Amino acid sequence: MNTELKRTLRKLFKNPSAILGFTLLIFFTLVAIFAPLIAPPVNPMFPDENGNPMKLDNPYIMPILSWSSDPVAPSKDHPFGMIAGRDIFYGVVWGTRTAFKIGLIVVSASTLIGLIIGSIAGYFGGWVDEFLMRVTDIFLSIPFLLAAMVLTTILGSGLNKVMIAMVIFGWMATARLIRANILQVKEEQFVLAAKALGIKNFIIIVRHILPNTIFPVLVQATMRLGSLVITAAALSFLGLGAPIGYADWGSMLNYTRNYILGASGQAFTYWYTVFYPGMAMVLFVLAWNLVGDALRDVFDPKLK
Amino acid sequence: MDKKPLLQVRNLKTYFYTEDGIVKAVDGVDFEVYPGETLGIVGESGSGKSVTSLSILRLLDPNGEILEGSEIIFDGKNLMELSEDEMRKIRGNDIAMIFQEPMVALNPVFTVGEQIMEAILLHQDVSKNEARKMAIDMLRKVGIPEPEKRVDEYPHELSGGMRQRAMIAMALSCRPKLLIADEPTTALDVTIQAQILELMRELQKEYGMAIILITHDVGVIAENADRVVVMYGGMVMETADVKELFRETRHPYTWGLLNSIPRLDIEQERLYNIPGIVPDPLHFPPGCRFNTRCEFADERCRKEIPPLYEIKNGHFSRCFYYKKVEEAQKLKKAGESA
Amino acid sequence: MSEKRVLVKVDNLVKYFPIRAGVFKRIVAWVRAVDDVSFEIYEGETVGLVGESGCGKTTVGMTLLRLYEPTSGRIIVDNEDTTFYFMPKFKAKKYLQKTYIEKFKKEDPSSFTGIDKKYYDLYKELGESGFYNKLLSELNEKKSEFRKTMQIVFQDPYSSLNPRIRIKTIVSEGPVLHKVIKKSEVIDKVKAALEEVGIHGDHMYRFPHQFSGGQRQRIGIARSLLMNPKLIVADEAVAALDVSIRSQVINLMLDLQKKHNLTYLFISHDLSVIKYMSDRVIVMYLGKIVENASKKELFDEPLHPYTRALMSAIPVPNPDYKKKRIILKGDVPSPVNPPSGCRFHPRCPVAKEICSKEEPQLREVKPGHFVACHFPGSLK
Ligand SMILES: Nc1ncnc2c1ncn2[C@@H]1O[C@H](COP(=O)(O)OP(=O)(O)OP(=O)(O)O)[C@@H](O)[C@H]1O
Ligand SMILES: Nc1ncnc2c1ncn2[C@@H]1O[C@H](COP(=O)(O)OP(=O)(O)OP(=O)(O)O)[C@@H](O)[C@H]1O
Ligand code: SF4
Ligand code: SF4
Ligand SMILES: [Mg+2]
Ligand SMILES: [Mg+2]
Repeated sequence: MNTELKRTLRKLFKNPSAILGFTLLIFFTLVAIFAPLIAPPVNPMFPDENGNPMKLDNPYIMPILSWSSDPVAPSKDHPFGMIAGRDIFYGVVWGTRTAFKIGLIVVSASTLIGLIIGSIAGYFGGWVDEFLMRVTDIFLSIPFLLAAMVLTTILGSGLNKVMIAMVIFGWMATARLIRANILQVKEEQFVLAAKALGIKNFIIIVRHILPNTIFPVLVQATMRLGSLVITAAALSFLGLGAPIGYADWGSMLNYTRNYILGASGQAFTYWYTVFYPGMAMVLFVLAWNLVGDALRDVFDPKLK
Repeated sequence: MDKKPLLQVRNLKTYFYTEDGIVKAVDGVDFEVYPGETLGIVGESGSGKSVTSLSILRLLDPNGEILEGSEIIFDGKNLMELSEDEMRKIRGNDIAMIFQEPMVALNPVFTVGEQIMEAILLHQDVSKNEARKMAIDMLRKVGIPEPEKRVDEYPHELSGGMRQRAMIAMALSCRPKLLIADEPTTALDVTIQAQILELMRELQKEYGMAIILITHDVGVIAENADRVVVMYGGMVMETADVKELFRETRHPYTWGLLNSIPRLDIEQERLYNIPGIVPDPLHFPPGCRFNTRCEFADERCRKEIPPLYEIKNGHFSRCFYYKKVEEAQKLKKAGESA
Repeated sequence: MSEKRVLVKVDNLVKYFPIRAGVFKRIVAWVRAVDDVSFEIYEGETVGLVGESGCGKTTVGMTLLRLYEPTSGRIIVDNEDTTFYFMPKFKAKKYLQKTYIEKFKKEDPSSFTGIDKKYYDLYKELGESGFYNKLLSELNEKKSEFRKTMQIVFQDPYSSLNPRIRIKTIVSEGPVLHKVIKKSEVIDKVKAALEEVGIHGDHMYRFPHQFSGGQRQRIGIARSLLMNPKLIVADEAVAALDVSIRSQVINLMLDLQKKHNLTYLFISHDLSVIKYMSDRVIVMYLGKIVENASKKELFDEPLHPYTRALMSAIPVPNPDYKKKRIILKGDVPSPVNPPSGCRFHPRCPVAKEICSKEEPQLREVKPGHFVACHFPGSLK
């Protein structure tokens, strides 16, 4: 086992794209953890009674530092520039936390739902399978953005509501994948042997089937983690997601809508308003994709 | 035998370079094949049978290499020295091969007829129409019913036995001098195996080609081969005429193998066990490769690799103590007649 | 020898698999994998089940172990009808009503034998509802007993052990669940079981991929053995092994049989192995039993043309052995549309007109020698 592990690690660290992926991911994780140090959640505009900058009630709401809403080019105090009176650097740093929050919560919840539905369908087969797969098909046939819009009009907008919508419409791929894998593993002789030993269905699924089917799902979940942030951004862009001023890469792009093309004749004047949040998003997606790829390489040549 | 051999394999070494180390899949193999005869290669899984045959055709995976000093002389030409182009002409034309799993070798998106025709057109100067006729003739020859209809079917529409027949038709369509059959019947039922082996015997009689028949089934060897090569751990352990091999076994591995198979023709009290497990090709023991499982093994066997001793004309054994096997065999015969 | 006890009795076992097609997954045809087979297995003997690929050997074994539910038929184990154990309760009741109550009400009780008689007495004693209650009570215990009595060893040493759990768990999972061994004894018992099959006891903490094919097959045997079963179904248990490893496992199985008084249903396509292992041999062709006889009878004088042909097709590792070759024509037909009459008739070298019209029944041609052929012994 140990040599197996060593070999896997060696293989992993020979692969430059895997190294890049993990490095980026570690970088983002560090930024998220140390956000309060990197971009202290204070508003220097409003000193408290001791003359220190006022602490923010909610660090995710970017403090308003200027009453002008026009973009301000990067400077020493605001290295990424400002927009709508808010510091882009602050938004990008705290947006990392938002991105992790959206990604991890939505992916774990939807993967769990998908796992349960897919396992039941795959293991029991027959009409149970038929029914669950029809339900899956129905969910798949609804265009996601439309559904999310309808759902947020019912539930009200806000980041949490968007996340709920993403969970409700995000489990189908997992369910299908795990079902297909289970159908394959179900025929393996060790599953039959477990049945012949009279092992209970639940234990057979949890001990014998899932551990042998779950890795592709983990890979898929990893890759989805990145792309979900784009979905969330799209919703924010449509004004369905985070509230105004929330430290979220998507919402920040929303501000820049009016400035994307810059002033007339100078298309790139306000480049920083798009570049920094956009770059963060792209790198975040890239990191998860590379990590997902690396994990696939590790898990794919199945344990012999 | 004073006939000139059709194929001569001398000191063939084929190694694979893997992440875990070097796999010495074939490590010094010598044998020859004479025109019109069937040479059986028998050995357990991983003993290097397939790699030997793929080396002859130079069809190895990219991580494999035939070492310098190996010689494969076919019809007077050293195949090791040919260019890839010249080699391609030899494959399919002079040497054809059939595999265990015909589904792997047949292309699923072309009809059986198209594939046979392709082989014919590649190597013979005939028109398309003639090629089609030849393909149908060939299918009829290998015993496929309604060949006019089957010629337009896809491989998956045929049963396992039919597919193997189609493979044989394809292999023989260019009248090769040598046919390499790698476990041609292992995936088939015994009654179908009997049909295919019978077919191969008939076609050999008619075409006069030589056959290398690779199998792990000693019974198939006994019934179909003229001479036998026994392989173990990438090396030839014993070579002999088929009758001689069974009557006068001179290698502990062959001896153990023959005594450990259940047989229809005699009553057996208890099967012999060759103890231990097949060694991992990454970690062959030093000295004789069989020394971890051999009941005659001693210090010398653990140090030196035994040479191939020529015991009699055409009978070779790679064992220092082949005489002990002779004694064991005498004892057993005495026991049986008592 | 004293009268042998019947351990398993299979009556008219049928297993059809549906073939579905189209949007609504309608059943368009049936694979008649096992079509009305009956046989008995006596305690302590080895029954060899032989036949070509697809003739239904595995299906018989799997249905016997209730890894497949039978389409119809009756499976009696240790003189108890086990057929309804794995059915939902309402189906089980319906089964009992159809199989026993209706018969008890119609037929003459003095003609009942075996299990029918036993259950008739129960019915007389308890009445109809008492009969149902008695048989349908404690089903979980009965199932557990069933699982302990019958175990299986599979063909594929690679897929038969879960690659992600340790040998210790693989081997002890079932016995612990059924309280054959206590949790506190696991280590000792697993060690003993492994050593019995020739695996080092300390290796119980390893994973399956750290073992060779033959060793894995031994571990599979240990897993069955620790359940303390009476019957082990060995489905091609040595087919995937190398020749030199095969004889080790075969000998191991024979030794264990002696030691634990095991009964084997030994499934194989290889007549030579069957001959070495078995006391009695059942030959199947296309879902039917065509011959059932003691080993000696069968190999000395096979009476069914198919058995003869099969025997002549086995390559014998002896170049001096002269035998008559019977080469069968054609392929095995599909079990979806089996031939009419005798299922072997399109390939049978001695078929006559009646063979395609009338299905031959399995009958006792000689004492203990059953053959399903209109002209037994005619193929020489
Ligand atoms: N591409 C490869 N890379 C690494 N090792 C290889 C490769 N091809 C074959 N081998 C190794 O070479 C050895 C000989 O393999 P080969 O296929 O010749 O065995 P064989 O005698 O044909 O066995 P079988 O009866 O299983 O077909 C094996 O140990 C195998 O794992
Ligand atoms: N789960 C299944 N669903 C549908 N058809 C099946 C199923 N299992 C088996 N069959 C079919 O039933 C028939 C009998 O199969 P079975 O596996 O019992 O044969 P076998 O005698 O064990 O053959 P082999 O020697 O190949 O193992 C075959 O035609 C097979 O295709
Ligand atoms: S050389 Fe030694 S180890 Fe090798 S086969 Fe002969 S006696 Fe056995
Ligand atoms: S019944 Fe007829 S066809 Fe069937 S095996 Fe007997 S002789 Fe042959
Ligand atoms: Mg091979
Ligand atoms: Mg089977």
